[in-house]
Amino acid sequence: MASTTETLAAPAARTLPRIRTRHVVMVLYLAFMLIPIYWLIKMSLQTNREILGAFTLWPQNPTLDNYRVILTDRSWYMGYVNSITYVVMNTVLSLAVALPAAYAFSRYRFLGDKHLFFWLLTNRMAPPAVFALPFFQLYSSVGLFDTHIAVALAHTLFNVPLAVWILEGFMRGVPKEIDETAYIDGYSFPRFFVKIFMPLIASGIGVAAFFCFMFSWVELLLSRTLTAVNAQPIASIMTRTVSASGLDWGVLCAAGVLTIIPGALVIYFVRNYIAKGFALGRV
Amino acid sequence: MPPILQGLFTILVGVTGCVAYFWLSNLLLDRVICPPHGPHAGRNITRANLIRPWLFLFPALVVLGLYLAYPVVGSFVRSLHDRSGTEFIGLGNYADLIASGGFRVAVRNNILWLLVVPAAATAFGLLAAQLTDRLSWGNVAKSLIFMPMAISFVGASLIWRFVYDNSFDIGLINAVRGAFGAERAIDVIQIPFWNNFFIMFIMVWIQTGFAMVILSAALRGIPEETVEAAIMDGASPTQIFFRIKVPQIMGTIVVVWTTITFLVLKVFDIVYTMTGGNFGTHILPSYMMSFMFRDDGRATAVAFVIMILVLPVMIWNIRQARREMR
Repeated sequence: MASTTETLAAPAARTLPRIRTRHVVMVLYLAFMLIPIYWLIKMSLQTNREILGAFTLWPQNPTLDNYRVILTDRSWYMGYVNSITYVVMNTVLSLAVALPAAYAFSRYRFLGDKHLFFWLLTNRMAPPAVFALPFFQLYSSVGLFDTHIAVALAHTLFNVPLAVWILEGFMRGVPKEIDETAYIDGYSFPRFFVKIFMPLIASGIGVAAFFCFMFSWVELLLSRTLTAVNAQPIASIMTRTVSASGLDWGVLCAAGVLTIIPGALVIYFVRNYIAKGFALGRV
Repeated sequence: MPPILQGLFTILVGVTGCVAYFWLSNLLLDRVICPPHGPHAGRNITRANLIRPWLFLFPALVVLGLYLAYPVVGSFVRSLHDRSGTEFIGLGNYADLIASGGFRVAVRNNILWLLVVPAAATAFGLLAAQLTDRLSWGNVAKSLIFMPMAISFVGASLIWRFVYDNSFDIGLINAVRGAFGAERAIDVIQIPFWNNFFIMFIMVWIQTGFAMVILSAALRGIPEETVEAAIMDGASPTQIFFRIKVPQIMGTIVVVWTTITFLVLKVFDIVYTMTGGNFGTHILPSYMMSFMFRDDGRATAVAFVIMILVLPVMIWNIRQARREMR
């Protein structure tokens, strides 16, 4: 008996210290990653006087006043409404265009399919800076300047290639026999696509939607150039306030915290699929 | 609420439009143009299958072709004209750019960004991936590390403005320095040349989590036997990491590296909010924005320079992707 406990205890004792250093390093690393975010949250709960006063590690009298300002002041909360409106528009439209295109690439062989596919890839890399001015002129001339549609369409452009690229990878993983079986069973194409095919690539759709969302949510150059007042995104409102003198630090921090929340939520839901998308060599 | 209704309406119109297009065009193809019955049924089915992929692709191609080709050509033409856009001045804008010191600084900074940020983010990500590997709370840690990616660049710049602020009360760095007895607060954003690295660091901070998630999935895919064999042969942990693990996930490392490179090529918000391009921190997109609406000719010329700088990375990446597809 004594000898068995000894042999069991021995390896545990040997591996213990190594695991511990691992934990310590990881905790330090996490601290480094998260302290800036903590700093933001801390300041969002303080009044301006407290922020500019003495240095504190946590808020002495936490207050939600800053958040109240944002949620009641029209010029602030409309920024969120605008951002969310065009982010959702852009994500849905991108997927609606990209799903059939990705299906074509994954299921059919046609003249120049490879070339087209790589051409799509180049579009994904195009820098938005090149497009800002022509888009501005184009939208001004058709009266779309400063509307949500303008920003959503401009973002769709950058997201369609990415979505096609991601979805194609996932669709390739679905055997073609499934399509054929469904036809033999009497499914029409639209019913097959919605009822059978889309559930099979649900995780791919999730990943593609995530990347569309992220691009549109954080993009500033285009959304800033294409809007003035009515459709201004929250990021643009924040930069304007950042560069203004006599800052209201607390409110700005609260606005920053509120921009993190949607992204963090989406990341939480798709975190397991993202790595899978990469395993397919896409994303 | 009008904007939301407007948005929902557009979504509805867009999606119904797409669905209607796909449904009707396929119907047309199957029923009218190439009906799969009658004297030429066999030939018609083959033909329909030749045409069908193009029906699926059509909207995507129109959107991209019209929308992407037109701006590139439009930008180039505009860059050949003067400030007001009426007089053709050939390559005058480009000549002015090359002669100006600000442009050269922006190019230098942009090249620094391209060299430093992807390398640093990938390296940190790889380190974190290796450390969270087989950690009991690794998944929680991963979710937390991923967090900075959810922050918009503006939000991130805001956070780091507080970290870098040049007073003992607001700035985190100065607060720490103060705790160690520093006399005077420093403004890291105004240190010539090195301030670029402080700004780049924000981007590294944002992208590390992304790199880590991808690389840790790749690390988990490494066959156990190779690592075990190395241990049997008496390799040290460092050797195992650099000689056994890294070569096996080289492909993923390259993908992560290039993805971050493309992001860096697009970055503009961080510099814009941190310094507005002052103190010698301009990069090309922010340099372009400083001319926007004031001298469109020059702004589009800068945009075109960006395009040219992107090309080699683009071509290289496509070659890579092509090789993988084979």
